[in-house]
Amino acid sequence: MKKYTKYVLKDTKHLALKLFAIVLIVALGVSFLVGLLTAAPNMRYTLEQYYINSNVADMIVQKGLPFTTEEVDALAQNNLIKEIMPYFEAEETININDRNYVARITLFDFENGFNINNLQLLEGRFPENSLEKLEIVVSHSQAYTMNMFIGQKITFWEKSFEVVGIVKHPLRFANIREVSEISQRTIDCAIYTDYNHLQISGPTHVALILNKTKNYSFFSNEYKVFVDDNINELKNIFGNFFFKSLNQTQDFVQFQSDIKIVEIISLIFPVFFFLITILVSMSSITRIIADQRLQIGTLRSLGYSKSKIMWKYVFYALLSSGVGCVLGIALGIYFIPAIIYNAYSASYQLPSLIIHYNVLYISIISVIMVFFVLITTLISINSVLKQKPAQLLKVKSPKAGKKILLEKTALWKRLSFKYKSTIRNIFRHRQNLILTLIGIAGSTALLLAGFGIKNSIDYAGEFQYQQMLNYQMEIGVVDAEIDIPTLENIEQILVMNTTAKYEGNYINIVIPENTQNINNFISFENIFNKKINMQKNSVFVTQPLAVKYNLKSGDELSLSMQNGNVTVTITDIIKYSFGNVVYISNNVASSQLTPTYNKIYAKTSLANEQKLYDELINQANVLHVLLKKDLSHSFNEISKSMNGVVLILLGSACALAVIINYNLTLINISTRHRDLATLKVLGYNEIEVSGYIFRETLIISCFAILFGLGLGALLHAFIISRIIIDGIIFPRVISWVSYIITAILSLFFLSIVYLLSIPKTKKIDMVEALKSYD
Amino acid sequence: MTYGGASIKMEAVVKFESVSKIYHFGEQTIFANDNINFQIFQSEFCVIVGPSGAGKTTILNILGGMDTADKGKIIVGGKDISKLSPKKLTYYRRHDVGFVFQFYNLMPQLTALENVEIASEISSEPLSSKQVLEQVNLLDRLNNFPSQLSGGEQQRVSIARAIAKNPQILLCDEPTGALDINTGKTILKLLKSICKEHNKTVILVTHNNSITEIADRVIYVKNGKIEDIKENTKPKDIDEVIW
Repeated sequence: MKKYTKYVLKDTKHLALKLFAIVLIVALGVSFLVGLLTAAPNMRYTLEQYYINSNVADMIVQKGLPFTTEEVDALAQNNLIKEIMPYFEAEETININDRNYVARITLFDFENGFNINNLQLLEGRFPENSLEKLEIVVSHSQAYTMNMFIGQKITFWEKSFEVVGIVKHPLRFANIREVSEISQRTIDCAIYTDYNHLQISGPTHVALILNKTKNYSFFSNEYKVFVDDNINELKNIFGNFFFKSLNQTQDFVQFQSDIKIVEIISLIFPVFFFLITILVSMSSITRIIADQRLQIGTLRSLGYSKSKIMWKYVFYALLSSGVGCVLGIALGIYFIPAIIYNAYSASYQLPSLIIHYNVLYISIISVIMVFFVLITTLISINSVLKQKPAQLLKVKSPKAGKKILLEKTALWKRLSFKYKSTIRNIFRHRQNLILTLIGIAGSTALLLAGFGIKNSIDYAGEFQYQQMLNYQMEIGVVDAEIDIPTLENIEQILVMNTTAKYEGNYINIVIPENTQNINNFISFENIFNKKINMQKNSVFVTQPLAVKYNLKSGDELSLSMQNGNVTVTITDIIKYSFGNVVYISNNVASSQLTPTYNKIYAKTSLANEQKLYDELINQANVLHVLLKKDLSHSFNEISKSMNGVVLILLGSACALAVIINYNLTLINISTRHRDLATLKVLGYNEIEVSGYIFRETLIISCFAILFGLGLGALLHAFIISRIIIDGIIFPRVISWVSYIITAILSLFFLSIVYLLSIPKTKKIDMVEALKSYD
Repeated sequence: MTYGGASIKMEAVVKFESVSKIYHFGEQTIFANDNINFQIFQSEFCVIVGPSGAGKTTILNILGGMDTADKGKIIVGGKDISKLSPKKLTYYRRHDVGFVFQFYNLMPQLTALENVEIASEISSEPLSSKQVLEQVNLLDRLNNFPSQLSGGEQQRVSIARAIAKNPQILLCDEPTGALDINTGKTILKLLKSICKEHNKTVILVTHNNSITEIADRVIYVKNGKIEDIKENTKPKDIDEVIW
């Protein structure tokens, strides 16, 4: 036994290089799996820690009017509630350097500090409580149109204030424009100052933290149910209050939908990675065992038991997959989540990623990987041990050649000799054929899916903001004050843009003043890419809204709006990717309410855009002016962050493609060792010799790539259909350029592998290879 | 080299001049070939014989351009092949020499005919593959794969493959080593007839002393050195040899 152990260990050293291939593929598989599967949980964990550290509110209570002292006390004493913080918040027009802007102004008790939704000071200091100096802090600028700085003077409520600090509000960590829920206007800046500076009649908002029975994860459904139950109970006590829970806040929703995309895309990988890891480790183990046939035969003939021999290979399997797992965990656990998180860092102002050791995921992945390598080893060693020692000691004759079906066709005669040989070889080594087909098709599919996701996002933006909207400017005006002299000679249309409540959620409503004319400003298309015009009876519902509530044309839709309730019949579902919007023709709307026009869509040239913008922004009745780049701002943010995920997808597909190709080529070279040596002896040169192997790989790969493109289109459709996020639907579009790039990239990897394999065929020693069959 | 009045002036087809092949195993140096000198003439049937490990296969490999010598000159058809680049050596193997191996080394996925074609395809003046196979008496086995052929038949395909290139010299490494006596004799007969009827120089390596009796020239190798060189004025017919 001792000697045998020694022999096993010695052989381990000898086989180190071949075992290393298994270590590498297992490490790669485990690192991607661990990294991808833990990325989303880690990102959630990071936000949760951020929320906990900021003492975030579970909900915010509002009521149309300021709260009375009794109401605040009643909330404070309620046994469902642990802590409260009342504050005042209002939307105001402010003046900076004689220009008007829209600001959200929040008044806190800075003297006593905050106990909920702690403001984080990024720069400068908090305002000091003195009546002579009026000081404010403002939010960091990424989410707002105004770029504020310390020392800036701002006028509102007929007083002049000075900015003394830059802060971050825990609920506003995403770089998305804050839009007023009341007026739908874009907020240009957020201002926080002390109560004492202004005369107010009482707090308008109360932030509160509930008495929790346990530590809920903010993302869990359990938490949502808990909060909803509490809201229902509180609603019974405080009948006229509105409750907005944490997971309804704009930034939380945005973050959750971004993470969902990461999660969906990363869930596609496991199946694929497991498959590839199994394939590659199987082929490596099979090769090692095949090489040691004679050794195994010798040991068997000496009387070593099957189990003793089997243990040797089980040891190899455990060793190589174990080392691979450890290496993979070490590499994947930080690296991949960090890359993904970094891709999102441009969209969020969040602390750096916290890696939470998800022991369950890590152990499941490792155990499954080791298990599969072990199983393949056992299958392969068993098939050898099944044979009698005498059979094992005999030279294993090469696989016999066979006529193939193709030879019966006329095509066969027209093939050159080289290709006849290649094609027969393809069918002679079925295992290699299947491995290559699956491997190359799989990585090609991943590549195409990656490019396709990018196409879908880009096409969605291109369609919605370039093809569909034919105007360049959206001008928000004070309700019904639509007379703007600056716009006199400019093509324009008046619309009413408001929010309506539908099944408890807010959706956007657009009612144009002129039904016929709106078609010059918006090119509607239905979901079958057919152009449709708005007509007298038209009610258009955007696709994300239709999907969310399962709406079809012909369905009735009851909407409650500020100036009345309407019930309309949907005529078409329209192609639209970002936003829950209902376009109602004036004729339909006017029969049930009187529209109040508050927006102007205007057409302008690029040259005039800025000039017009500057003129408009200073008019008293203009609330805001949005250019196309403002309209597409949040789309651009999504697009930017998804680029990161797509890059990861493409990167891993490329790595996979090279590894699979290289591994298969190595297998090919080692199984054809003798053939290659014979060709060399016959006077074939290096290029012709490597061509013997490579022609085969190339032919199989071409079929695999074609197959992979089909598979990739399906995979893309699957991923796109899984991305179900409120207000977003991506079209199933893959550009033909992506198909071509994918095919070219796949062939490019193939040629890299070809170049890598030339030294291997060069190294084949004719003399050694032809000596005998051992 | 000149012989007596009656003989023709003959130039050696193969000439080894002080050829050495040295292997280094760490500190140890082994002379696989140690200062080898010999000549072989046109249309000779030459047997290189010696015990295992004597260095006879190394001579054949160097002569065939499969291996290179460390010292000395190897002149084949007036050309020194010891100084050829790997690329030139490839072309030398392609056009000038044919190989026959103990284990045949046929391509398993190719039929008998195709196995011959794979060699003739790349050479400059090949013979018709079919005719060559007819010559080795395999016309009825043209479309069989190696796995469907007996050992002797496989060796005949291998010989056909070697001669289809129409090389000057045919190098055979233990061509009968894996065959029974009678099949072995058929193969030797075939090689001899190729040598005599088609004027090829055949060089055969073996450890079997009996084969030396049919050779025109016998080169005895031992411990990497030439022990003796004999010319048989009256080589025996194969059927006369007992082994």
